Amino acid sequence: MDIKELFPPPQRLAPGQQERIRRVLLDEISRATASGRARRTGRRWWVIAAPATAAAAVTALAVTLAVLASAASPVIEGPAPRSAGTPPQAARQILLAAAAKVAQQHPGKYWHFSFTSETINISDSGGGPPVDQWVDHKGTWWTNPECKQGLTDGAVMYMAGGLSDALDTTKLTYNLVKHWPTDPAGLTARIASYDSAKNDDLAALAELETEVPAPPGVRAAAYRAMAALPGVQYQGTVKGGRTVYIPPRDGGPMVLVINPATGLIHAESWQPEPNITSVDTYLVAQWANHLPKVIPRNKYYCSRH
Amino acid sequence: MGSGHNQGMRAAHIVGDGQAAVAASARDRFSALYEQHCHAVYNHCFRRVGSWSLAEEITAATFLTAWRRWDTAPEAADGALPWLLAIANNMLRNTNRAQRRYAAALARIERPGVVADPAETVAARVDAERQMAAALPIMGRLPARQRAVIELCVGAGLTVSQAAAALGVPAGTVKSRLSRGLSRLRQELSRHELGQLDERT
Repeated sequence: MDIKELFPPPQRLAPGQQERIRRVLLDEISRATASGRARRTGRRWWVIAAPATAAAAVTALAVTLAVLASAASPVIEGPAPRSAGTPPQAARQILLAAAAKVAQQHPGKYWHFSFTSETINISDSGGGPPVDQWVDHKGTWWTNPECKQGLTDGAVMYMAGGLSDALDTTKLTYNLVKHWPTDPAGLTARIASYDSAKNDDLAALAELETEVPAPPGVRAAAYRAMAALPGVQYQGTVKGGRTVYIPPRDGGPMVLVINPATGLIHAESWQPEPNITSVDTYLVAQWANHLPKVIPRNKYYCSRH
Repeated sequence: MGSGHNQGMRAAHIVGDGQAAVAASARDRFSALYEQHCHAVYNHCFRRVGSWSLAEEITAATFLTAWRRWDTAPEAADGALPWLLAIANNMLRNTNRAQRRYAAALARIERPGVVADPAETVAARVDAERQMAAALPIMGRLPARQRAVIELCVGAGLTVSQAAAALGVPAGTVKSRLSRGLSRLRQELSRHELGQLDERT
């Protein structure tokens, strides 16, 4: 059975049901208004129409386009084609060269990465705005769910950590990972012992390059561990880097686009399911020593009630 | 004195009009929110509880809460549905409590008279409930956090960043939970299908 078949097709509320709830809400609203408990308004809702806001949106778009252009982000339309017969040596050379590059990184106070994420074949989940994240050595992180706002004024919203569970990469702090093995076999074994599910070691290796604030030696070891995987294939050059296909293991297959100049992953296409492809494009992945302006989380969007 | 009194009355009248206008504007925007997202919230609730009638009650409770928390609503258009589903998830964590809390509001408005739905709609709803009755035990074998991400991304079709907003976790966490959750779900489905095969043979 396909996972998408697990859920039945959506149904609409019948007109009578919809009307009943509507009347419940109108009744509640009129009671609130009558008793002087009108809700605080004056904030924009989802329609961005005010002139000042429109200008901000244009600025945000311009900044976004500038970031996209400067990052020379690759364009991947679904999973990369499977070119048969490329020798694994080519892919291994790319991964080992990337390992040599990232081994020269100089960690700063914060790991800063920004990416766009697109899930293909899942209803209407198209690509959203870039997600911008900063993580310090202790694992405290800052993010920008409404990235347009942050890109406009260079600010990020503060969201303290403490949200992780045993399997989450958010728990993989720099202060923890810096003690991890820097040899590929040792690193792979460490990941397996850390991840009790043991079902996605490939994703863990890729995340060490992109989202986990890992020290240079560990990052290099992660690339070397990928190079040791059977069946890796070079699939050609696209805008932004060279593609390496890694066949399915316990998790789905993965295609990485690696920038040969920096050794960084520019994009990652992975298939958690045969019919589902995710494409993450990294606009930024770098160490930094200064945070942008931090916005108190309750000033904008706080989803935790 | 008289003049001052009149000015005070006029000022009070203007303030009153302003408040009414603001309230009307909020009501209109909230109505638009309801019309746009009520079906998505309804289906999300159904995927969690497997009962259309219970899903309807939780949908009502979700929008009542949304109105009461109007001042925490997100400004961005793509933040509206994640915000609503986050509220729905809170309602779903304790459906009994949610039903108790909103029993009075729901009871004020009687259910409309019984209007027969088209036969195909009835059949589709029965089929859907049967399908969810089979799916819920399988979903129940997943860790709650992986399950929540699958319900939002695969079920409700949220993007990774929208799901991150709904759950209050980083997008990277959503990605890893989605990846691990789908792998785990695939294993559970295979196990379930093998079990059915064994029963048949």
